[in-house]
Order: sequence, then structure tokens, then C-alpha cells
Amino acid sequence: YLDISYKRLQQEVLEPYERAQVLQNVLSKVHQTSLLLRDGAIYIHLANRIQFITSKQTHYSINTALELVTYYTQINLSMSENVNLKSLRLIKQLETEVVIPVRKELINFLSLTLTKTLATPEQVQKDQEIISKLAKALHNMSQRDFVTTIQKAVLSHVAVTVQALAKTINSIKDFPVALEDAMKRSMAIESLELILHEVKVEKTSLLADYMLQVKPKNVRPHHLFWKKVSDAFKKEFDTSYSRGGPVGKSLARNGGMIIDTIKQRMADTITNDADSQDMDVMLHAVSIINPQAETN
Amino acid sequence: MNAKDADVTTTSTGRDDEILGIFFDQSFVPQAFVDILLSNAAEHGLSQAQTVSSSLLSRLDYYTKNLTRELESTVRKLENLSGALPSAWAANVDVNN
Repeated sequence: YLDISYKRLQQEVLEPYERAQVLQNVLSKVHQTSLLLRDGAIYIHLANRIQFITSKQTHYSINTALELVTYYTQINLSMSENVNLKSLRLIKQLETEVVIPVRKELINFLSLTLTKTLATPEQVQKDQEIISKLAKALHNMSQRDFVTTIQKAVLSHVAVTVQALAKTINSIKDFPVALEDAMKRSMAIESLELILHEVKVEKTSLLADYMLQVKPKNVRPHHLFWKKVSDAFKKEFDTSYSRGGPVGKSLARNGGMIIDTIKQRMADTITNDADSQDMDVMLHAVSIINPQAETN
Repeated sequence: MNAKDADVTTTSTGRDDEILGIFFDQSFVPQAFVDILLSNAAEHGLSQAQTVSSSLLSRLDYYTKNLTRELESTVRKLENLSGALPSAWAANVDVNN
């Protein structure tokens, strides 16, 4: 009787139980294989697209570049979702031969195109939509390159402005024109801030992210612009003023005009307290002017 | 892929099908399998690797469906059995006494 009972147990319980365990194990392996194969196939498809597009053209258009960026976004996504993907030889090979080299080219292109678009105040105002797309794409590809590109653009406006203002020291009647140009550039930078502010990434915006990454931290780029312009201009101005001679004397004679120009022009754009800081910063650059000298 | 392969049923799972058979192998490692599969296929071009992946993927979907069905029916058998057990045990106890 026990023998029969055991046979029944064997047939009805142990065998199905073992079968269930085997099936579960096999299912799990089929599942793992499926997942890896699916992500692998997606990667191959994307790398294939990237290779196809870049083999056809040596110069990207902005639209091609943006299309490539969407492929990279998907690649990053499947890479982060499946860490085993990196260990596949074919994936490694595609990564070295296609994905990484094109990634570098793409970042260069985006950075260069964005730099060109940010070069003049007129273009910043005109190409806001393109700037927004390029900035977002570059940020997607490389946060570091995004930050460097924006920073360089701001600093290049600083350099041009400082040079133009420094020139007016020798012919001070040109000062209002140079200041006007400086204000255009400042406004372009403010427009850029607004564009970056409107592009949301995760829980923040491109602007907030940028301001966190650069030094000094959390300073609006156009405030930084005026600070740097003022510091550099002050150096030149102080030297020429103190040296005296015809140039120094001319500066002293026109001191009132210089201060009034800054006050009048810059006051027009003041919309809040932060903006009035810019005017104070600029007035500080010429603070060496001694009002009594004007009577000479 | 031959016609026989498509004939996997819930009862013959893992017996007739060569590809399915490898998943029953204890030493089977999914990562190594996919690695070799893709590398070999890619020697004939990326599009070959894509074709192989997609046809194997649909095959794997098919296995998943059948294996799941078989697992469900096995589990159901066990559940029915456990439902029946107490009374069977009770009967056994009676006989033994």
C-alpha cells in the first residue's frame, strides 16, 4: 500500500513539481535572452542608422544633427536599462567604430553651430528657435560641452565689448556708440537666458543647469557680462585717466558726459533691481572720474 | 528554421526543438549565447545580425507563450492536488487506524 501511495505521490506531486521548477528556470533564461537580444537589436539598428546617415554626408545639416541626437538619446537609454549590453562583443565593436567617433563629430558640430548662432546680437534675436534646439541637443549629448559653449559665447561678447570700449578712451566721443553696442550684447545674452530657461530638462531648466555648472555659480550670464566688462574697462580707464596727458585730460573733461551716458542709456533698460545693479557696476568702472576736474 | 520547429506543442516542449533544447541545458548562459550569436551573424553584415535577432526574438516569444501555458497547467495540477490532499490524508489516516 505504501508503495502505491508513493508512486502516486511521485506521479502527482513530485514530477509536476520538478517540471514546474524546470519550466520556470527555462522561462527565466528565455526571458533574459529575449531582453538582451531585443536591446542588442535596437542598438544595432540605431548604430546602423547612424552609420548610414554619416556615410552619406560629410557635413551635417542642423536637422540631420538633431536626428542623430535622438538616436544617441535612445542608445543611452537602452545602455542604462541593460548593463549587460556593454559586454557584447558586437556592441563594443559598434561603439568603437561608429557610435563614439560620430558622437565626437556631432558634439563638435553642435557646439560650433551654436557658437556661430550666438556670435552676433542680431542673430541671437533672429534664430531663437534654432538656438533652443541646438542647446537642448548639445546638452543631451554632453552637459560639459553645452556649458563650455555657452560660457565661451558669453565671454566672447565680453571680449568684443571690452575692446570696443577701450578704443573709445582715445576718442571719447565714440563712447555712447560703444556702450550702445554693449547693451545690445547684454540684451542678446538676456534673450539667450530666456531661451535656455524655457528648455526644461528633468526637474530643472537649461539655464538653471548652466548656472549651477559655471563659476561663479548662480550668476545670471548678463550680470556676469557687465561685471567682466566693467572690471576690464576700469583697468584701462583708470590707467589712462591717471596718466594724464591729452587722453587723461579729455577723459576728465568729458567725465560728466560719460557718467550721464551710462545713467541715461542704461536706465532705459532697467526693469527690476537686478538690472539697476548692472548700471551701478558700469558706473563703478568710471568711478575714478573726479567731478571737479570738469570745471577745468 | 524548419517546419518541424514550428510544431512545438505544450506536450513536446523542449524535446523536438533544437533551439528550445539549449535553454534546458543547465550550463546555458544567455549573455554568452547572445554574444556569440550576434558576433557570428555580424560577420555577414549588420543587416544579417538584425535579421537573425528579429527571427530569434519572435521564436523566443513563441517559446515564452508555450512555456508559460505549460507552467500554468502544471501549477494548476499541483493546486488541484493540494486542494484534494487534506481529504485524501484524512482517508489514509482512517485506513491506518
